[in-house]
Amino acid sequence: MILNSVTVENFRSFYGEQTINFADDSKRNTTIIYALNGVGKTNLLNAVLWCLHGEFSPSFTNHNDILNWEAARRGRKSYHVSLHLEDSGQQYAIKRTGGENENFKVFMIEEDGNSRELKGSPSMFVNSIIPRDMAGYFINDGEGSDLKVSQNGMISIRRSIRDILGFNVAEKTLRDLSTIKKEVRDELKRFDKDHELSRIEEKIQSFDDSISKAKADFESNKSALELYEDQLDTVEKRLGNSSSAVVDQLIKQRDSAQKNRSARANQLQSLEAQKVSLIREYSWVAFAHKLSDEALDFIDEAELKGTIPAPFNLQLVKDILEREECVCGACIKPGTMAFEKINELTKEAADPDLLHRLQKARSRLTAVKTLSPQAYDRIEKNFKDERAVRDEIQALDAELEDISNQILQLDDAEIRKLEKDRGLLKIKIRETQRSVVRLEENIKSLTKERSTLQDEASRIEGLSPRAKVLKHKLNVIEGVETQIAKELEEAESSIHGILKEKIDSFLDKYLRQDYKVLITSDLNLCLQDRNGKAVPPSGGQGAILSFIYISSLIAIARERRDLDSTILTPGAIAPLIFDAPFSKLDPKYSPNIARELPKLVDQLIILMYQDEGKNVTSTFLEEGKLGKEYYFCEQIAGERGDREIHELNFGDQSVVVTEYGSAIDKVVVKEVVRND
Amino acid sequence: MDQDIDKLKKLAKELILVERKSFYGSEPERERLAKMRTLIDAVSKELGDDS
Repeated sequence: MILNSVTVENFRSFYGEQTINFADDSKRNTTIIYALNGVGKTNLLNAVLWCLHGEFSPSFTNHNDILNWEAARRGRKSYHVSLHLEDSGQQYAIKRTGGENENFKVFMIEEDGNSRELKGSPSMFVNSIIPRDMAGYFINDGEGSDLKVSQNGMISIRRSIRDILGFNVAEKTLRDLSTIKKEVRDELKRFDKDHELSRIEEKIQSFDDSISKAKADFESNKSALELYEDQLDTVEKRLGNSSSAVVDQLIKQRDSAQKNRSARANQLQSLEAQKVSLIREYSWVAFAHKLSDEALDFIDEAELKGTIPAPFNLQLVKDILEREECVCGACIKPGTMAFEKINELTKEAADPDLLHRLQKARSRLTAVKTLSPQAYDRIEKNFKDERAVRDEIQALDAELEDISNQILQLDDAEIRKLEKDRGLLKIKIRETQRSVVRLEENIKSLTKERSTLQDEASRIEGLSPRAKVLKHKLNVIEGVETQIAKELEEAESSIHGILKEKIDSFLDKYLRQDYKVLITSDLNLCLQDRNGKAVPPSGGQGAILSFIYISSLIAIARERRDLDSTILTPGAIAPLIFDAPFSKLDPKYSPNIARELPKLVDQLIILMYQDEGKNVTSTFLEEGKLGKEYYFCEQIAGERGDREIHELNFGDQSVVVTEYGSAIDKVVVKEVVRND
Repeated sequence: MDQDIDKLKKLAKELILVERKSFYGSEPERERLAKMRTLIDAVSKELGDDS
């Protein structure tokens, strides 16, 4: 979208109709609007935002008091803003009227200049060009959106990233699905006579709550861990850069001990894993060891006595019974005592199956006997190795502690402080690592228990037909929730790398090497100075971070303009309208930012008072980017008296921005015409 | 199974469309949940019949 012009009528400080034609040339794409503080910069920015979406920026107060005071005094009841814009080669006009006659219309401007009202919903049209949840980042009042700092100096950017990724509609859908699911569960209570299913569903709901809380804790601990690790890295680098030979020697010693410890820790880990596999491999041998001795002795003895297997063959016994004649020639008739006794022998007679089983038992018992000493040796070696490595680790820990104590006793306050910080960070890291592991296990166990409950619910039988329908409906809703959540998760996890790349690139363009930005995996952001110390985003540094961050968001929104997703809202290409962006910025960085900002967007609109030595206007001019300049002239009813006259300089000419003796109080928009 | 997932994906898409219209102000907010319930009921019935 390119904004061609804005017209405001009786909107806050603007009495009557005022129009600004923006620079819409692709090369000279920058417009600067100069105005004293309190004269109308924020009003103009909000007029654009309100015309598009009927909303205002966070710092704009008194939303019900928009009608210009002078216009109201003269009986006017309404105010209006219209925007002329171009999107995908087509011209449009958006008109919004507020006050007594509220009205919102979008017109398509035909080639012959005639306008035709757009059919369908005007708000859907505007949102398709610049979604309202992204508009605040493009039309920025300089308050820095959601840059709220946490205790450890981190800024959560998850919300704004989700806005730019187009999460809001999907998230609202998930909230609505949760409401519908609750309704279904309530209904289920009425139809589930013995309340078996509804009780389980209630438990599932409480598990869902616990899982989401545990996940949030897990993410915040992981983020803190990343920050501590980064801080530790910086502290260690600073210690390593010390000019003292003693410190240098101790640090080298520590590095080597630490390297060694880390190798031993890895060794210990693999020995522990080996122990588990040895136990798996040989546990049955250990348990069967005594049994194998006794059982083999028993088999050998029984074999020797000829009791196992029985000393007569099954086939022989069967033949005698069938022929009714013994091997000695005696007649064996059925029903006789001899026949019955021989028949009894079939139960114990040696058959091929029994022989096979016997062989198998012998071979297993022999294996136990053979493996037993091997298992003993291998397990004992593992235990011995593990003990030795543990001892080494203990010795290395003592050495590391000793080195740290030596550093803490050095006659250098800065080194002592760094070492103390290092020690504290190490403790924080250890504690946070434990929390992360604990939370991870907690999430796993909660998820497992939830899945057991779900299995339990699916096995319940004897439900009434209506309860069955409701149960099925719950499954469908959960299925849809999973599909939506999956896509959101994938989009969010892919953005980390993209954001890091963007931030690094803007950091390099705007600031060179003075600062670095840390982004944790759960989208917390922190501006750090060269020493790795978190810089609170207030004042000048806040302005830097704001520029870097907003620039990155806009670049991401631009790349996602043609996103092919059914779940996420596509991004936007829109003008960047910045209110007083350079006011808090260090003059050292202003020219760099003024050089890069017009390249970032198709159109740039800057609202500011004056340059104040920051070389913003001159940089825009040098770069050939400045297309239009306007200033707001405040016309005041009444005599000047002792009051100061404010002037603005443009090259060799100066203009007055506060005029006295006007018939009424009003702000007039005037275009700057440079002589050069 | 795959067919069920396709139906759930289609339902997710339709629900998002309903939400989008209400979120961006082209349709009244109050009708949103009713439309969603209808869509869910239809797919739930369809999947129930299939099984």
